[in-house]
Amino acid sequence: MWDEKKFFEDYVEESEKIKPDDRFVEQLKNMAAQEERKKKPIPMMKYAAIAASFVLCIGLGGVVWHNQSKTAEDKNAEISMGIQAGNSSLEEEGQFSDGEQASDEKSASDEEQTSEEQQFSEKSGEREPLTDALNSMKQGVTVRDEAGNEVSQSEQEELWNLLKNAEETEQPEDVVKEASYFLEGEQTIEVTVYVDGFVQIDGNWYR
Amino acid sequence: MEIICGNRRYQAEEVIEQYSEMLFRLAMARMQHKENAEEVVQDTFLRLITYVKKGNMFNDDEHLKAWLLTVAVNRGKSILTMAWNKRTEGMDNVGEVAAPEAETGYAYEYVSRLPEKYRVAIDLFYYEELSTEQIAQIMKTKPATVRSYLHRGREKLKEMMEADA
Repeated sequence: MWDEKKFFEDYVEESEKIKPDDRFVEQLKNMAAQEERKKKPIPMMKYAAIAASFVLCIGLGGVVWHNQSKTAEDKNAEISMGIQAGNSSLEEEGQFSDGEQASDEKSASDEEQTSEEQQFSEKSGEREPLTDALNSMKQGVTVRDEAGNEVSQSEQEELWNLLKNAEETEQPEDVVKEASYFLEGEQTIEVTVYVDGFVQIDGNWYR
Repeated sequence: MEIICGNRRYQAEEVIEQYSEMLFRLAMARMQHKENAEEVVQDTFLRLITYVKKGNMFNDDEHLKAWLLTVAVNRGKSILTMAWNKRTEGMDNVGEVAAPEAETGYAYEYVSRLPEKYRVAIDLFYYEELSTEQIAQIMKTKPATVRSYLHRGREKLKEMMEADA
């Protein structure tokens, strides 16, 4: 005979018996401890990272200055040939280009840059949020998290790679938010990252 | 690493101690396979660590609990989808009414025979004592749909028990 109340009381009691192994819980704790250790950089590594960033900034600064002066004439020519004016902003040097782009390897990096630009242009006949976000990051705007803290260089690189490889997609049915980033350019762009690589910018979904 | 819930701070180990049973039970209700359930629990805690490392925090304990349940439900869905798509060995076990290792009982066994969505809704409603609104948020659906899962689940349980009797 069906007795709903009794059935679900028994269900709750029986569910109590469903427990993970102690061994598994210990593994989880060890995993958490390992993840925690990963977080703390060795002090000397910290100083090395700061020094490397400093050298990288100087190198990139030089490359940007050099490129701007060199490509001014090319830009004018391209515009006069009918290339969309919106694309010109993509021609500035990227924040995340490697330091090795300096001098000798500049031409190779230019080619790489051009293909990236083409990719963005193909995706967007007109301005669209993902392109705006990528341009914004290229320009080296400040990227902040929800707490208002500036995010680390490595996290910015992660975000950059995520956006660079993202393509427009349908709104997923169920997603869990991981973090929001605010790209503080002329206009602040909010980029929300969800688990499984989903990204939302200005109401548009990418993956 | 501290997990901040309002004005409380927990170590990751404390959170694992407190919530691993809840997540494992939910994952078992959904996956019905111990190893897949363990994978869901492990992934959920890994995502928690990543989330906290990025400077995120929770408003209170309820917020943390709801976050963990939501991630676990979603992760379970991904694993089920992956197993189905890849046709891996794991797929053979997905959807099976696998008897849990521990001796359970008639009620748990009957609930195990229900479709996945009903099982999850029943676990969250009867065991975790969440409201249909809270369950709807976790399952990314409407409260009315959750109420429908619960109603149909109860109907099916009644049918199964009467048929067996």
